[in-house]
Amino acid sequence: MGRYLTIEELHTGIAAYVYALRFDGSDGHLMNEFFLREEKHVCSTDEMLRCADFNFNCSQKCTRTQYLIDMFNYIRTVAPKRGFIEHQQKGGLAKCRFYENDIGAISSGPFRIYGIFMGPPGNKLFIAGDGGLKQTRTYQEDPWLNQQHEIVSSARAAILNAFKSGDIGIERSRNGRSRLSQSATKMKIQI
Amino acid sequence: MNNQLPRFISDLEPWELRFSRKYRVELVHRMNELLLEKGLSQKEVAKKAGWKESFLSRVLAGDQNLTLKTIAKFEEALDDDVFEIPLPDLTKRTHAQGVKVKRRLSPNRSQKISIDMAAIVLGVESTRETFSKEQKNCLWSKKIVATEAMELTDVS
Repeated sequence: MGRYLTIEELHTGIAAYVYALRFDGSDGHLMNEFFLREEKHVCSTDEMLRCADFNFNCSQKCTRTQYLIDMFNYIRTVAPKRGFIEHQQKGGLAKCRFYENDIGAISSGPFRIYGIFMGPPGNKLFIAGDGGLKQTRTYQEDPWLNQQHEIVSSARAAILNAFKSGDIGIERSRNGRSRLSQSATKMKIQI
Repeated sequence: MNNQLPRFISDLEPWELRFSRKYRVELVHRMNELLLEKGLSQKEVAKKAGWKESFLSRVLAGDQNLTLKTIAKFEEALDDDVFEIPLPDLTKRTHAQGVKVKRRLSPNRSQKISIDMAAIVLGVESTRETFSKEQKNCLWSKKIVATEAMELTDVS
């Protein structure tokens, strides 16, 4: 028996709509779980030694926290306002990355949140899944990240099936932005 | 539902949140957008601004702490504004407010400003010279602080 996912509308702006996946019956959506998990993280001695800041107090100003703050602000404020546009620069700033088959990630430093980008270029909506800290060269090498990617891929396949059957669809908002139809937030996706 | 804000966000001071949103993330995204809009390469912009390419790359990746000088150089290289400082809407300024501002100035300060403005209007070198009748008429016709200029000529 598979698990069920629902889609929850999170943030809307003049340029983009942001949604999140939630496991049926869970307390919060997957993206929230990612942030709550990361805030509880306590750096090990090894991590402290490798830390770029050499900040043994692990205060709020450490780079790791800064990446998370940037990522949160990007998803909540900046992307809905400016849209999801891929920037070529590698580095610490929170930005979106598009992979194949509508799957992509919001990256901020070593952190990734995997999700689904749907819609035409320059007018994409984002359905966020879960993510984590990427310490390997590719996400496939990390079992946790690979699992999160699989969940998002399964959700995408289920959403595409719902598109084909006509249960849900992508419509345009008043200002021409892509958004999911109202029925999408009531739908249960089996993965 | 348990969608509360993460602690590292809720513990932030409001100005820190604003700094992170507006000046750390959004500003750098705007700079990247500008570069795409203008269709310039990083190499060209770096050359124009007199920077190393690696520096510009760090700026556009958000890894560099931006100074106002850096932003100004970037704007100059792209010949566009990253952000604009809005001008005050002078049409909303009432007569009463104008009077209030005038009263706040000391007589000497008010006189100095009037002399300078009159000198600018008339294009005269010395601001302390007495204006002729024609010059007074010129001031009236231009309608720029004319009344004040007339007063100061009487004083001088």
